[in-house]
Amino acid sequence: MPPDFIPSIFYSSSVEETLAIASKIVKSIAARGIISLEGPLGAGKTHFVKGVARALEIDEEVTSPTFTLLQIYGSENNRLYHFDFYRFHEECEAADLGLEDYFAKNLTIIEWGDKFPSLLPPETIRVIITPLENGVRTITLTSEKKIYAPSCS
Amino acid sequence: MNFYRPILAIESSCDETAIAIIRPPFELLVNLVASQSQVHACFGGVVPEVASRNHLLVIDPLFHRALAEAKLRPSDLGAVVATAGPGLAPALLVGASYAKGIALGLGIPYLAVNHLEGHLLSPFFLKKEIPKHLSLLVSGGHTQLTKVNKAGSYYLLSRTHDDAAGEAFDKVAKLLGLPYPGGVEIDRLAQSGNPKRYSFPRALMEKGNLNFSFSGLKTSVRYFLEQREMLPDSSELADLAASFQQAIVEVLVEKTRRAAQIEGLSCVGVSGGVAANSALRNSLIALCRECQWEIHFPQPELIGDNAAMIAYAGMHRLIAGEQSSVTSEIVPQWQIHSHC
Repeated sequence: MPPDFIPSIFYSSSVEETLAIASKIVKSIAARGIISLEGPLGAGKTHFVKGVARALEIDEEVTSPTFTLLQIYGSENNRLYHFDFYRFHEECEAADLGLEDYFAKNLTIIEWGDKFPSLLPPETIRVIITPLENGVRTITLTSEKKIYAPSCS
Repeated sequence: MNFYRPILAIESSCDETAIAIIRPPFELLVNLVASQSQVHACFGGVVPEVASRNHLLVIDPLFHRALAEAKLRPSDLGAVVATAGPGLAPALLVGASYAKGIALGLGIPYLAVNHLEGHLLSPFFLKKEIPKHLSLLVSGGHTQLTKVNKAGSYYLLSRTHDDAAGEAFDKVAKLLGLPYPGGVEIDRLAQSGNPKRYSFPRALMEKGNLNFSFSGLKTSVRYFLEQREMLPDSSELADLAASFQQAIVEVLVEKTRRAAQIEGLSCVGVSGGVAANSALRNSLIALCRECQWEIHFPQPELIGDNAAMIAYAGMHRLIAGEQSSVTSEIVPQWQIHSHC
């Protein structure tokens, strides 16, 4: 991602639109990289990852990694690593996953990545889903760490 | 192997480190799950809740305690089995590697066991026969319907498209501001609530659909709370808990009914953490009474993640002549339909 990267904002009013925006975003960035996926419970984070998987032509069903902590999709040269920090209370718990082993390869998406920003490398792309009224959401794409995003206390 | 020598099982696929020993065919000698309080007592200080390092800390003392409680020496063991998937790689590695080490050291067979198979068979733990039945597995990480022809022969009928049922309980409890563990709290509150006061969506109910989706239900509870000016009072909270729970239970029960009818099965086995939910149990029992089907639940200590169920699943495979190489790898994405 270039240093003069300008944040982009997308509007979604349905699951289908969220899937399409996710596909568009993942196609516009390199297929390797780290995305921190942020937003409150029920914002549509897992659906966003479904859109990413569709763009990568992965036909496995993407499901929530909240309890399993990590889901791995795709094949050897087209892997999608899908983490979730939701259940972690302490940074050291998340650090124990050995994240750096995954960062070098393919695409890694971390739901609730903003809980432990110091674990994320500087090149991390942040995708922030913010529910508005009437089921509309904004999906903000940024590389800046300072943008406010609600966190799961 | 000698089929009557004790089988030691290790489970470390996610949060719990567990060791059990059974003496085939029908005797449970010991079933230990290392709780966080035990970890604290052993090592002092704050130990993170979900750290794979915890498995490494507790596995050796747990192994020695299991042998002591079963009054066995290591040389009495006939085989060692361990969960090899699905689960978190660093966590699986601890249990599977420890098990292989014991097997190599003692010169006895090692067998890799599927965690989901352990849950599937848990309602029939140490029973003489595992009947042909429909399995409903409902936990924090999994929600699926599986046709079980016999031990070792499974056909996956459906699963969740997004959140597992136990995860929905947990997250909605968090939205409602309830203490942990949220599922237990919702169950308790719902007992004094009106399940018909609020209407939450039941997803994928169209004819013939056996799959599950619970993320929309979670989102609808969030919308409901956001649209209100005030936080719910205690009677509203009970009604909310009851109404939400009713939405999940109705879906689980209806899909169970459909699957059993479509597959022509007259026996249902329920497993996983949500099998402890009283409303789900009562509704499934009522369904099976109405349809004159058999229903089986695991014993309470076999509902959460445990090693006894892994020992039991392993025993069936060992008796069928299976064994794994000590060089076999863990399988973090191991799904149950791999067995078909």
